[in-house]
Amino acid sequence: MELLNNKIYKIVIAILFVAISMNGFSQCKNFTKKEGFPALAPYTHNGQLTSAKFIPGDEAELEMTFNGGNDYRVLIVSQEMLGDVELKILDKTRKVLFTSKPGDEKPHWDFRVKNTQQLIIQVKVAEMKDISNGIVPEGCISILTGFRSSAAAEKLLKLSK
Amino acid sequence: MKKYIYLFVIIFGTYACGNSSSDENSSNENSTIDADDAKSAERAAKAKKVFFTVPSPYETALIFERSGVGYNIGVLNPIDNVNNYSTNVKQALNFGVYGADLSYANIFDQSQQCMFYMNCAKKLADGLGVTSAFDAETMERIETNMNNRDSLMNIINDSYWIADSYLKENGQDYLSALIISGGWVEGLYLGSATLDKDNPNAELMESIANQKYSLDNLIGLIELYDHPEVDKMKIKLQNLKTSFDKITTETTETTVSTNNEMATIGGGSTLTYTKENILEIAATVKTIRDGIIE
Repeated sequence: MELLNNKIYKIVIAILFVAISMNGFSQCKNFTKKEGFPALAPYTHNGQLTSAKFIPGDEAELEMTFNGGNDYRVLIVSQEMLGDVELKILDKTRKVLFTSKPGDEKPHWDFRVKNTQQLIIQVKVAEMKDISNGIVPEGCISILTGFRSSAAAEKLLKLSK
Repeated sequence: MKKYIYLFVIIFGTYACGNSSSDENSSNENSTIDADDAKSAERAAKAKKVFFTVPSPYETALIFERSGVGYNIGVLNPIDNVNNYSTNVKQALNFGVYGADLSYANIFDQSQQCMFYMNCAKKLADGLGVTSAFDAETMERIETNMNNRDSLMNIINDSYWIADSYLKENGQDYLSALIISGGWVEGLYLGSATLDKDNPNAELMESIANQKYSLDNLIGLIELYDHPEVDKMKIKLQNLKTSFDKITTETTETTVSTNNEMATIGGGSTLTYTKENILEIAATVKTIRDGIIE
């Protein structure tokens, strides 16, 4: 009987784990759609969801290839309760090429690359010193990257002048 | 018995939260971790999350177009093949393949072909259970924007994003990795299939060589998954990497300059390769692609 109880307990825990994971993904998806995509325009996103749940002190890195002849926007959207989120762009030798300003609500960087190369997008959630009621906030962060042709962007710029 | 009641309450609570998270106000929800879990949360915080992503097939198709690739319908995966894909693994891989074909047709303003490939993608998305990717509203938007290349590409990208997020949401992220792999392989194949073996275009060879970087990212991405079907793809991509590794890399210091309010990253890596290296890559990618679409 005890063995059966343990089995049931494990199954219920597994269901609970899956339910929580699904809830987390769904929350991130809706958040990204609402807050991320409009802020990425006029750049075209790459059709891949890169988001996860974070808590203060968490850190993430995304490695991707940026093609010569294109302009890019790297954008971070995070849920308010997480507080300050820092965006850094590093090259493969880990030399820092860009650091966002503290307090930036939607840290982002627009840039173009001369030669195709891999860069590292680093995201850090600031530590929270005063956690009220002993509750650690958890929220979604999405890393969005969009691109457009540099030549097309130059044409648009000339037309607008 | 008591502990089951507690668990029921927790599960019920979780679902209740889950339902509200899909509301429009989900971004304002205050999701928290209890203080009791703070220690495990602290431990989790020490582990750095690592992601990889690859350029979309649309971006790859644009790069090859700029390198002088022309439209050749003969290199696309025939639309009749869509009926051959009955397993979810085949459907996922070829959903990626047709997405790349769709991007390629769209870049060359082939509206009729776009419609055919859109239907193939929709059929495979439905087979994977992602009916929301190409629902009635999306199909209507596609028809309305059929002659607007950029708008159409944004709608297609949205559909692929919906599929990617749906699969991740439902614990089938290995299928998502296979979609990305299928799309990447087809993108490279479309570029390399038009290569003139006797007199290859220098720009096109450079664009093919540059895929060395995104292959590294793709391998990094699929290594995060532990699934037999992903492992099979990993072996094929490792084989392709062997061909790409014959390309040598010379790295110079990266610099950032700002002009017209746009930062420009200079420096980085320069690749050195021979015509034979590129032809070997083209042959290897063809073998992988033939295995995917068969």
